[in-house]
Amino acid sequence: MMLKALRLEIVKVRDVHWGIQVILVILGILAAFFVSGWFIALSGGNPAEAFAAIFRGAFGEPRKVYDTLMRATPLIFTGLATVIAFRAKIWSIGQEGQLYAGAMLAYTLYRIFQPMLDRPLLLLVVVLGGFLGGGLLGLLAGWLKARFNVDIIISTVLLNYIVTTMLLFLLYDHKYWMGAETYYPRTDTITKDAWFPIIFEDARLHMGFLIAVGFAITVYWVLKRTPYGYDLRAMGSNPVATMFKGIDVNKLIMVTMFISGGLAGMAGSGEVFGVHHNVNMAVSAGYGYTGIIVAMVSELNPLVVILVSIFFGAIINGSVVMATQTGIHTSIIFVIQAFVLLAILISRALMSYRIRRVPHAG
Amino acid sequence: MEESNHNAEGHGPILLETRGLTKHFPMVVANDAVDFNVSQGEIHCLLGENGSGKSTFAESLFGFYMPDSGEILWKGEKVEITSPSDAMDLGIGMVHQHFMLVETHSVLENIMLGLNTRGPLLDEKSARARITELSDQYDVNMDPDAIIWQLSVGEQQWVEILKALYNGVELLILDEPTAVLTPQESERLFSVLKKMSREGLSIIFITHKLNEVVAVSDRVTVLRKGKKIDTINSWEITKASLARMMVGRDVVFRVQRDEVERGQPLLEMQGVRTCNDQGLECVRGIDLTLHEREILGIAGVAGNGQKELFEVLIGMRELDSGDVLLNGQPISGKSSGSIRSQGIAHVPSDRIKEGLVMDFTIAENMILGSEWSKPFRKGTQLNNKAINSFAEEGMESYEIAAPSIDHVTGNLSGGNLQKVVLAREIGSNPSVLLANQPTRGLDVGVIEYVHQQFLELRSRGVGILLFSEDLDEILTLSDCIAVIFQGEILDVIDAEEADLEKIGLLMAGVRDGE
Ligand SMILES: Nc1ncnc2c1ncn2[C@@H]1O[C@H](COP(=O)(O)OP(=O)(O)OP(=O)(O)O)[C@@H](O)[C@H]1O
Ligand SMILES: [Mg+2]
Repeated sequence: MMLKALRLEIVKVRDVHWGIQVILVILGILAAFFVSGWFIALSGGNPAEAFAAIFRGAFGEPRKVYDTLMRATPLIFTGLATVIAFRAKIWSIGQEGQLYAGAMLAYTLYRIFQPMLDRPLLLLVVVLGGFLGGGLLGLLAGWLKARFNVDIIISTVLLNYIVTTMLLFLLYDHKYWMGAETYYPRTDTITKDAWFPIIFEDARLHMGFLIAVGFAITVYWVLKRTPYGYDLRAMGSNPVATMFKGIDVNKLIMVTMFISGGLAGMAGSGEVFGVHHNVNMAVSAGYGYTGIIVAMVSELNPLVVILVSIFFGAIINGSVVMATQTGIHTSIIFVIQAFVLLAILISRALMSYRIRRVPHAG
Repeated sequence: MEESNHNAEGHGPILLETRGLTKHFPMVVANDAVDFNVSQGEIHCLLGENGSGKSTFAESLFGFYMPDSGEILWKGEKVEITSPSDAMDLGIGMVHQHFMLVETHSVLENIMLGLNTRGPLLDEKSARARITELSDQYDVNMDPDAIIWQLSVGEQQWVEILKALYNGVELLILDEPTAVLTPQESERLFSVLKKMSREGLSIIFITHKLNEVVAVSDRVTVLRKGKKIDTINSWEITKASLARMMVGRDVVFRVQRDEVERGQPLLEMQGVRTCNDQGLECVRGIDLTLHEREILGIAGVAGNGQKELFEVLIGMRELDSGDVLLNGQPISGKSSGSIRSQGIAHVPSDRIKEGLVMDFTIAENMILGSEWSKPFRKGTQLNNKAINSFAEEGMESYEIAAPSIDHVTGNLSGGNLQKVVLAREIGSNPSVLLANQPTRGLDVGVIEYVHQQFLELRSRGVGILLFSEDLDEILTLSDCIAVIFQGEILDVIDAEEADLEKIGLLMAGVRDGE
């Protein structure tokens, strides 16, 4: 068994041609749809009809496309958050909590500054607030790791609970954030001057999408071209050698967790100020966790994250139409997502195994 | 053998033979039509420059790689070895160039992990009995329950060997087993190997140490750039002729050393004390001073505190008491980053764990630790132009065998990995160089080059602290020799007056008049 495992190790060093990778992703997606279709059939639906409905719902007309991009936006952010942490082999799964922390700090700052700032400045404060909120929460987990060697997985999971529970507490009392004219646990609607500008008229796609794409390109550049990205990759691959060469690994963990958390936090402020226009317990539809899947499927490549997010956004968006037209519950999208990830992970493992056995010529 | 050539032939019946064995890697021909054979009860050395394809050849016999063409014959019959478990089934065992042990597991667990068990269950009791039996047979002292990371490197090597022997093998392949052994441990290994071969076991032995080739082998096969140069009887050869066959030119075993006047004190250790990972004090009050233009050799058997002292000096291990001064300023307690930025370069003893990032390209590894410094950083970005030209230069002067500087480091051969570390550290323009076993795994030609580089650094004013088990290396390079034993410096000897025998005794802990 160990030799088998080692054999994979050896193969991992070798680059797989990007064309093969693309084919692989497509095959994985097809396989996932196949299995999910089977699930739909089992529950008495017609898979072909369902998938057609999803497609129409996602790309049927321009407005649907914009909605799909809107759905992709938080996934790009949480996907990038995962990419930057996982590249350093920091196994953070705190994106969900950081998303809410970003939403909460942005909302707090909105309440403080709304009366005194103009729209552009207010927007800036809200965007930065999102980054800072998530970033500080990430930093906390990073600091716990660096200072007390607390496992990142454990601290981030616990912080996810703490943050969402805190939000629940704030939203269930009129004394705090619960809106005056509502009986639901949510805040009053945010004034329009703090709403993220819409990119196309009559659609809900907001500027957050452009920021997300900008960040994806930036993250790509940072990883590839800056000394910080270099250190991050070095630590991810061999932390001992990185320390031996004088790089402060603890500082690196904290900085990385701050940036990762900040990216996830941007998803939160984007959803609150771009989509919901209030804070509630459903600001994230599990975007923090889906972001992890997005990053894994993208093989931790920030640019691919954009594409995979759009794909996942399309399924989320299209599933609404599917539900109304065919009556199949939208939760089928989680089945599809899970199977895409599984299929791609499996085919990757199979491929590395096979490559070892095909003699390489030239 | 039916074909006739000038190659020397073994005595016994042929156990394993290869015909035209060829293995390509992308852009590299690692083995080019290699004809080879090993007979029963023979110790057959494989010799060749770094990157000449020795490990690849051995791994192909062990089923780790699949050759592209050529055939392997086992006892005269053609066989396909497609995986290590095939090899083990035939009766081939192997010790790889780099350790493949799980550090947090016990000896027993590690040995059982590599097994080719039939059933789904591991039979711990019989495994334990087998290990004891093997240890007794070859007279090694091995506790099956010891955890790997607590063992010395030499002991770990024995674990690998026992693992390879576990299934009752007929052919044992050893890829540079002595690179990490002390001379004493190597001696022991050889006597065991000779015993094994007398009992009929065939052994393929890879090494760069020509003395060992002459001492233990029956025949030797020399590879160069993937091709077999020749197979000759070991009793017909000399060190010099072997070296010439290997690198294609004459090799000077002792480089010319000019006298230079040593300068100001650079690095001062004052009463340095520290503990090892197990919490035992292993550096016990060391006072030493390294000067400008001086090579200070620290002779000693590995495991006497060298590694820990080295780590203290580079800021990776805390000092229990004492002081370390660099140019008169204390550096003890400073971070490894700030120490490095003051001009201390270091070559660690374990290139894979401590020196390199295997997933990086060669170029990226060449600047590890300097990525924030000029000229490798320009503003917020890495300066690829500077990085590439530095890497090209290192690659050329150390003759690193790889298609390009963008090649993944993990694909390099063992010796070429070491060259990357050396090119980086020597090229970083240090004022102090700390080198722990710097020529481990290098071929004789490269060792010659590295020694020249060390002397060149010395003449430029650099102080070098050289930890080495290789007495020849210490004597060739050092101005001053300190002998370390159980964490203490027993004596500091001027190189002029160095007496091999005396140093050898000191390394074993025997002082004058005792
Ligand atoms: N997995 C791999 N992928 C690509 N190239 C490889 C791989 N393994 C080895 N090579 C290349 O094949 C050649 C032979 O390597 P090999 O490890 O067999 O050398 P070696 O003779 O054992 O050298 P050393 O004495 O340094 O250990 C080298 O050029 C090396 O870079
Ligand atoms: Mg080798």
